[in-house]
Amino acid sequence: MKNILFVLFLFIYGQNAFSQAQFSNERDRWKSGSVYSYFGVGMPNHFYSSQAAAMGLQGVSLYNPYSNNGSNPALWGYPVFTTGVASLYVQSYDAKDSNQNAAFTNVGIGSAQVLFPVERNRLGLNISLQPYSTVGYRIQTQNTLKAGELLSDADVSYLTEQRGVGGLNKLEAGIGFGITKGISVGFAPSLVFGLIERDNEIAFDTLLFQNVEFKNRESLRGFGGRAGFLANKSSIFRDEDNFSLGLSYELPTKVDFKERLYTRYLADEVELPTRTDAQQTIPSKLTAGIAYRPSNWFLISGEVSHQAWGGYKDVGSLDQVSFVDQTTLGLGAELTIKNRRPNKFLTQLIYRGGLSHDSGYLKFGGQNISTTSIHGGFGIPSRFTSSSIDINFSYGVRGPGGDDFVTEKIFLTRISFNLSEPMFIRRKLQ
Amino acid sequence: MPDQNITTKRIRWQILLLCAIPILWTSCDQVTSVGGSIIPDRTIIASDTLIVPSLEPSVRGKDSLNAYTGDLAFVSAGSYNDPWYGSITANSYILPNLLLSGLVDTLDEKTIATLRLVSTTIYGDTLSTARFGLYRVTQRWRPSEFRAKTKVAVEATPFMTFEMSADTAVTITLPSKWLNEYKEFVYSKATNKDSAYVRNYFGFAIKPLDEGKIFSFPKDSIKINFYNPKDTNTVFVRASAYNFSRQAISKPAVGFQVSSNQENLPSFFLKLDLNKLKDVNISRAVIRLEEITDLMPPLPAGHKRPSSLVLSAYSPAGLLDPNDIIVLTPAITFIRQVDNSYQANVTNLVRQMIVSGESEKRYYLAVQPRSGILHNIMINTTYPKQPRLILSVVKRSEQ
Repeated sequence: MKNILFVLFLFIYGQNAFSQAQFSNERDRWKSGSVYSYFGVGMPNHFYSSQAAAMGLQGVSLYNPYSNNGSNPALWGYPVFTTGVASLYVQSYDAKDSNQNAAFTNVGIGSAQVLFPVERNRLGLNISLQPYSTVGYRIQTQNTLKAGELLSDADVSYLTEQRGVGGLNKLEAGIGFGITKGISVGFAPSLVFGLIERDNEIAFDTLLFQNVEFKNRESLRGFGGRAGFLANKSSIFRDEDNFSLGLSYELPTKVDFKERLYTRYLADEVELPTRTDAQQTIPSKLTAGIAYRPSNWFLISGEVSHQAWGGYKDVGSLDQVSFVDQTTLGLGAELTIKNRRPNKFLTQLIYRGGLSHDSGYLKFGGQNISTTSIHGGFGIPSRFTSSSIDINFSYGVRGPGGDDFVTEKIFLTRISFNLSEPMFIRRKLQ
Repeated sequence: MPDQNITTKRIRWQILLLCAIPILWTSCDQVTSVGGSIIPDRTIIASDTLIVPSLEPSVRGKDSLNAYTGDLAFVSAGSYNDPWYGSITANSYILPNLLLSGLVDTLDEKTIATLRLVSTTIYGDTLSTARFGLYRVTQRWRPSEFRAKTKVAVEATPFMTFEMSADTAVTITLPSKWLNEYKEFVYSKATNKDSAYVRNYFGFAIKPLDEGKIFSFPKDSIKINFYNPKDTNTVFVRASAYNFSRQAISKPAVGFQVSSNQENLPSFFLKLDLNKLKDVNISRAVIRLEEITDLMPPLPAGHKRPSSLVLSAYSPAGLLDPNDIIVLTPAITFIRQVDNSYQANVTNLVRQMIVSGESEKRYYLAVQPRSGILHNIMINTTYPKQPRLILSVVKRSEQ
């Protein structure tokens, strides 16, 4: 019962934190993030598993009975324990363009997901709530209207602040089914929903003019789904090795897009007549990965993912930007110390590391906005249960460089709480 | 097994504490211009000038516009022939207070009574000497009913005359005839001396004897001093009023006159095309009225036509009663600019109209009778200097 309450806590905590991040009316909610999150529905999220994230992967081929992995529904086909994960992250940006540098730090919620073993080693039910994309930008530009344009006898300077916050969330409930001992499949339908608010505030340097604020409120809702396949075989080259192949296919998600424009007059928010009701399709994504475990102490995995953003039609986007197909490559490894010593803390940890390259889904002036990252982390397993805490780090560089682009150096620290408990199993001995 | 439970509990508490950290964490945030090169400012700021519908006369008709002039802060007296606005004549009516009963012994044969007048504004020839007469009023008048056109009967000849030159203050010794009449009320044996005084004594009028200039006197500065070797006493004004008349002269029909006596109370409609303004936000809205000055013949050297620094606009629920202007708060206040225009910032007002869906609103223009002097403003109604609303609008471009 306590375990169930704990899982519920993680869910409620996660949902509250989402609400705090996206729907608060306080001015403080405007958080700076990647300037590239301005476009489309924001920066897509690729976090599904703390184990995989530390290896620079999504983890479609990483089967781990003790750690929840949402990257591939087929991974839920061999459930042993009830596993849950909730994660928090601190993300620091160091952004630079031809004009200046900027640094900012955000705290956010990664995801909250729980896998229930409906039938042990055969059928699993996974429920998750996770950010699907994130919008967070805050940019100021200084402008001047010369005398005669607005005032006959004086220049008028004003500051425009463009800011956006919100993103898409995904509420998903899926099952994984183990067909045979080595092959499983899975499917997870999902509700994709979200709210993106984009503000433009113009502040004048003279009291002759009053500040003006425009607000775009974009609400999005649609249904999506993912299908997965996992093939797993042991004793290929040696007795204790294991090889797995994972495939995950995310269906195109049609999203109803409703944009409403508001402006602020005095204390009133007035809706402007311009309305946009459209349908957007978030493109399909195919991820394939392999993992090889030569022994219980070492794991290496590689992955490739392709999402067809090239056909994406953004509502109200700019001429100078285009969407392109996104390919993500990742390679990572995991090391467990073979001779663990109870009194040596460092020998108790699981060490992970990896590299990833994301070709990006945006193109400016012929250049892709790609991201190359290095990842690392360690897991702290509980001494007496299968639960663990994972602490991950990653450092990435986004942008092609040069004065015409924004180069972002992103440092991320994530802490994930992996719950792994034999719930719903009648104990023979009390 | 007990050890395991303790450890599990400990881990849970540690996790819960770790969960609490981000809630307490305040993210560092910095607003910068980084990214401005790839995300351009999509706002457009532009100026738009809308013509305010022409001024129109009050629907009440000229004759009924008769401003309240009793017991205001100022009275005025004098006569001046303005080459643009015509001949203007103003007369003041003063009822001094009755000296307190405890001081009656001070009024004896040696007592001298003086009237002290201090002027704050002059309309006309500031350098000339103007002659005035003090006339005994023969008719009862009530300040609460006094209007600019109220006529009050006075004796045919003044009981005293005096002159005012370039100086703005004068002290006039009142004749014994006036003092004796006043003493009768002071020494009256009536049960209620004060009521008898008000019922039977109507004060005096200050009327111009020649044409040259008009003075305004603050009511509080008008006083009568009683001097004798024993004592000095002062009484102030109990009731005051002034009337005036203007003989208009014909002039080109180039504008609309706004006067502090509300003899001509023009109004205009502030009209907004709400459909046109729906996609924009108003950052600044200014109504500009231009005063006609270039067509007016110049005044001779030393002559002065006082200008009003403020022009007010009222928007009552129904028709405006000109008598209410003195107590109404203006909805719009126009301030005189160095270029002879009157401007009012109506941004909040226009924004409020947009929010409430009000497409037009009527405003009455008036000059508050602040100094007692007749202030006239000639508003230009001809293109391109007609009244106009200048909007600074901000809109978002789609691209």
